Amino acid sequence: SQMSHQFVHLKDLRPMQKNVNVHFIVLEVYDPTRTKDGNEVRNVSIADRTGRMTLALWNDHGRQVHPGDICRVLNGLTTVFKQEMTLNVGKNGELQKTGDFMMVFSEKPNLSEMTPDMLAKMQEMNAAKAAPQSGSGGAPSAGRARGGPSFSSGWGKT
Amino acid sequence: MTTIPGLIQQDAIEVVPDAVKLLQSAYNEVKQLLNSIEDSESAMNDVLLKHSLTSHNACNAVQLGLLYSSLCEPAFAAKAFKFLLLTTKDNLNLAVTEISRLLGEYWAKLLDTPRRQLLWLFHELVKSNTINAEHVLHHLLRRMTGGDLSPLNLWLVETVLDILSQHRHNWLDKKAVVPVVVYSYLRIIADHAAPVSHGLQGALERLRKREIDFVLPLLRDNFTDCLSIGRDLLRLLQDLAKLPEFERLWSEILHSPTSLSPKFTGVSQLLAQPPSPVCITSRLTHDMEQRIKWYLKFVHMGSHKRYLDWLTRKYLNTPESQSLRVDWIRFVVTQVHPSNETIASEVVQRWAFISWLILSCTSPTVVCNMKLALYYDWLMFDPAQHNLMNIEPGVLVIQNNLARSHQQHLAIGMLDFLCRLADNYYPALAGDLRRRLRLCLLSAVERKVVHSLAHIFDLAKMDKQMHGLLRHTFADLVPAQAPQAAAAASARLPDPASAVVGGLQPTPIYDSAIIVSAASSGVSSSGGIARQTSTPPASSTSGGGHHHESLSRSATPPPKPPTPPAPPAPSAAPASVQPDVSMEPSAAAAAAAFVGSGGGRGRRRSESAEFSDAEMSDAENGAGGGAGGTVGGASGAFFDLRRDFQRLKLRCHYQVDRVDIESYLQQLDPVMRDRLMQLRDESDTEAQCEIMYQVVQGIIEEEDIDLDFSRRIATCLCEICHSQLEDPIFPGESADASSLEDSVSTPIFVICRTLCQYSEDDPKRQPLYLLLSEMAARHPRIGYYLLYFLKVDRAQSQDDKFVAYKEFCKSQENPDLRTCLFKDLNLLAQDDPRLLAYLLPDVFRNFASQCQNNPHLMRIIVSSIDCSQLQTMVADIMQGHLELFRKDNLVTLLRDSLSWESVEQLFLWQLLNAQDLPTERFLPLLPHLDSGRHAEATTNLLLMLKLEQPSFDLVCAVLWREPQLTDPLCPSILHFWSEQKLDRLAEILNNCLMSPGGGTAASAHGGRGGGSSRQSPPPLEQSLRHLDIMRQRLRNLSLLQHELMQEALREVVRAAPAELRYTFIDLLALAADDLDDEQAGGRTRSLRAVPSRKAAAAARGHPSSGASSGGGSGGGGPQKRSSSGATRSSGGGSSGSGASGSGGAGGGRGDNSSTSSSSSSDDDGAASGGGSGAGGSSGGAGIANRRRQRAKKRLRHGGTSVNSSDSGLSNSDIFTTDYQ
Repeated sequence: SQMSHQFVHLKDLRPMQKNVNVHFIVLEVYDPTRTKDGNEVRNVSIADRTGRMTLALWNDHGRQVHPGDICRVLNGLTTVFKQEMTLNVGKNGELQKTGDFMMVFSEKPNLSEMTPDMLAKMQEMNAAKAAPQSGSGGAPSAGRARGGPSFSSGWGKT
Repeated sequence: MTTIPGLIQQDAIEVVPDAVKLLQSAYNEVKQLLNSIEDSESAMNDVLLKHSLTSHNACNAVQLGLLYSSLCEPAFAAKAFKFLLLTTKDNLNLAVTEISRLLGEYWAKLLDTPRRQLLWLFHELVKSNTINAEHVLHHLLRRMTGGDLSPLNLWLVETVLDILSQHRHNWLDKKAVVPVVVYSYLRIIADHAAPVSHGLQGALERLRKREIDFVLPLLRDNFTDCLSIGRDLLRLLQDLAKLPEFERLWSEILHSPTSLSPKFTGVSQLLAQPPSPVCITSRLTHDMEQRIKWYLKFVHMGSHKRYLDWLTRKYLNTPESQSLRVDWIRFVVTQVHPSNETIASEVVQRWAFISWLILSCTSPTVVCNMKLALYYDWLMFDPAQHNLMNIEPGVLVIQNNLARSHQQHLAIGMLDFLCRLADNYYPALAGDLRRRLRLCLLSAVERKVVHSLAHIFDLAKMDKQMHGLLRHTFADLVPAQAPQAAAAASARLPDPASAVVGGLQPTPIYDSAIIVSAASSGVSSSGGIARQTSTPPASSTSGGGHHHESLSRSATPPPKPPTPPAPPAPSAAPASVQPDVSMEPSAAAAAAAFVGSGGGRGRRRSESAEFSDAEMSDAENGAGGGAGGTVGGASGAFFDLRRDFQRLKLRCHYQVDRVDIESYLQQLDPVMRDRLMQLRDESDTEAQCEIMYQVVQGIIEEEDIDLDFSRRIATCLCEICHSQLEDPIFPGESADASSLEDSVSTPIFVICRTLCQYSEDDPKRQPLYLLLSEMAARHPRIGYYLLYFLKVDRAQSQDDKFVAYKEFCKSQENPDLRTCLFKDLNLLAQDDPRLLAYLLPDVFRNFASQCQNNPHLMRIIVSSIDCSQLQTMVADIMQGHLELFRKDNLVTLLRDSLSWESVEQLFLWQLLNAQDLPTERFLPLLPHLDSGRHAEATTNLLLMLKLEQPSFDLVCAVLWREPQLTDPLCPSILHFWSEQKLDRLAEILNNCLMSPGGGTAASAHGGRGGGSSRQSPPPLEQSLRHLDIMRQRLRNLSLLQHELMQEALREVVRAAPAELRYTFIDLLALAADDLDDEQAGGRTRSLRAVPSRKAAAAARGHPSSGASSGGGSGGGGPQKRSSSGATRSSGGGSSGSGASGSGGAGGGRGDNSSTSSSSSSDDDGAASGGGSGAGGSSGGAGIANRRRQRAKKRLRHGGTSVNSSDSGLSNSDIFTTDYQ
């Protein structure tokens, strides 16, 4: 089943994407913070050769990765938290460790930083959500879920 | 399925490796197979065996499943391993590969049980003397990491030690293994000799003692083999020389090297010997090697820091792991040699990695050892023999760190170290060592590792004393003074000793005021003050004082006496203590050699003194090359198991039902019954033979022998002698007479022997024939047992001894000799091909008419033998003992063989070649060969023809082959002959063309099939087609332009039907031009044209016998020709090929050609050729001109295909190679 996954580079991720598959190396694992309901969340700095990004890991996942590990996230999703794009495993997603050390990466650019384009698009989306006809908003998001390309091209046009 | 016992331990997020999944699914498969079976071992074995015979995958699954089981189920492991041995078809290759993988990649993750079991498996492999055990051993050795005192590592070291010392004889003969074992353990001992703070001390000491007891005798006994370790053997021993156990060895290495090995001449020999890659690599685990190599190949400067952090955290985290850095440096320096592209790229370079290793190390002792490791290959550097890439990092570490202001201290420390190394490492050779160091730098400049030495001897960054030291060591490579001058200088100075380095432009910029010659340094060591040699000549410095200063500035940590981990120094009495003490070496001091060089207060205790002057002699590189590991024959337990397996395998061929002979015995008369029962109960072979003899006598004397009687006896004997009939009988082809004799002194052979005692027509033989054939019906091996006996037994006369076998066949149910013989030989081939090869000479001599040229038998033979039997047979054939083939009707065999397996065919051809058969006997095969499907036979026939001189019959036979553009045979042999015997071939072809065989190919086929003694030439069209193919494929002009060929072609033009002329218009054009000329009275032109074409052919890289460079200017038409274009064209299909093809078209018109072989561009060539050619072509026919233009046009179009431009000319390019 893993063979069929289409992997994308970190640079091709866009905010609020679903079902993304990425392959990366872990650079840093930061101290955990606790949520109100007692979960432990760690921010993890990850990178591939197109740049770096933040990954949020919950509980056990956060304890099992170490700097230098090569991992992949299957069916992950991107969120925006404090103006930063973050990769999440999500409850349908999967985190796998496949190796360590031997992967080339680049620490720049920081892909979690939102570009002006992205920010504008976010606002647009939020506005759309706020609008009364947001009930049918499910359709575009389903379209997005199917894969990055259509979504990112949408981003490109704005 | 119940849960599977675990193999590795993993976090939840870790993906189960494919290799492990595979093992586990195989394990399930095996478990399922064995599920229903009770405890019976043989039943289990049968099931496994049967399953593994079903398919390749099934066989692998059984192997992997059993492997998994023996790793994870200790209770079942012994059985699983036994089954493993019994079912393997590849000498455990697969299993060993998987074990190696587990060791290499998953060792750290293995659970305890599998880890223990893995070692147990290794023990079993060694015990059973498996050939593959050494692969596992290599991986185990690599797993014994240096600088690792963890309980796991110590356990591994000790367990392997136990196994190796317990089964010495099982692996000692594997010469390739010993050096690695020695090297690995020497390295480990060094770890265990270093003092540690925690409670391990006692345990380590005990272990160390065991290791030393193991490795020291091993080293001594195999010293010659161990020389292949190279200079690093010395480096390791030097670390150990302080141990009392090694004192003697040291002393012998220094003073009486030959006592260790006649091939060992002394220290300098070892120093000159490059290290063994296997040994160097053995000190890194698989994953270390992988990561370091990857790092040095892919990581760019800038992002390297994190990787280094990760490496540190993974491997270099503990205090004791510091020493691992030394192994890494040796590995990086000698084994990781990046490509030029990598060097030119942004990728982290070796010097940077090494600098980091040194700078991040906290142990001064280890730092010194690392420096030595970095510069160890400099000591005896020889640019002609040694790899400069071993020198490169050392040079760059100095140059590039000197350029970085915050790391200058490292570079200066290195220079300081180098100077002292030369003087002190081995004072007897100090002069030579200095010379070598200079050579290293000069080679580095020469080979552009560095632009100049200016950035290495950058005096602005050094103080005066350092300068003096450098001048002393590197002489005039170092600027005399004035740092300012140094900046501008490029230090490319001639070194008196460096004449070896060729091509160096001496530009003496610095004046060479002080040259410390080798001679003067020799004085210092011979003057009995070896201990003080570290003092450079007075002229350059003020003596020892400066050392302190330079030391204190050097990068090495503060000159404190070696810190705790370095015990060597304490004993390493400073030089002053035993100043000029003789040559009597103290091993301890030697040990200190460099271990403490960064520190020791009196500096450099001149450890070096230990090297006696005996070593002055030049390094003779007589080092015993590591003899390739001889694969020990199977023996012991493994062989037994093998035999078991053979038995099992044989059951697949035929079933021998065990019978209860009690009832049969009861039917016999009492005397016979008693004898047979005695025979059954007797265990001593000799006694058995005696009883057997009586049994046989009883049979002979029996009054009325009927079939039933024979059958009863035969059944009983087969059952009683069952085990003899299952064991291999043949002791081997190299066995001497007595062991052959022994092999036939079992009861079974008593029957044969008795049989042979009687003369051929003695009626007493009859009952025995009957008995034997009855036995053979139950146990088919009897047949070849008899053959074997007849061959081995010396008692009978040579002539007719095989008559017995014929008679034996006659008495069988199916009394056909050939059937019988083939049945026996077939069985024998499966049982023991060696014995088959041994028997063949006699079989073929005695049964020639049945055997020779018989495809069925021949296939039995070639399908069972391997190369060693092939060798035996070829030797037998050449010695005249064996005649496998007869001349007549060979072709039936040959045709049959076309459908055999490749290797079978190749063996057959080898055998055919071994026997001296006339080539013409093979010719009938020619028309049956399809080069596409019968490559084996085609190739061999071609090679066979190559050995022949061209004759009319041969050439005709070749021409009779169906002409095909893709068929290599005809063009190849014709071309070959034309190179060898041009005149003769031309004459023959002339004959063929002038008097072609009449009629169609069909009728000729019929005629040939009849086997007429003299070949008739094929029809004209066929011959022409062959020639046309040659013309297109080989551009062989020398043949076609031979006068006789020209004559024949002209004749064809004149006489042949128009249709034919049209078909071969391009071929005939070769002669037609000349014809035109002739008609125009231009006879001379044609004569000139010939050599010019030859020249063209020659320029094209086709050696042609008569190539002369003559006629360039004389040629008519323009002809461009660049040799490079021609070369390209030979590949076909490239753009060059199109161009050259069209150029050929021009040439084909008979004009031309200023063969400008040197012209580099096609266009240039065409232009110039066109220019000069135009001038020369006086009578240039209009046609030629038009074609010329067309050719030029095509040239301009570069690669466009010739065919596209003019269909009429599509074949007209003599030089095209338009085939696949």
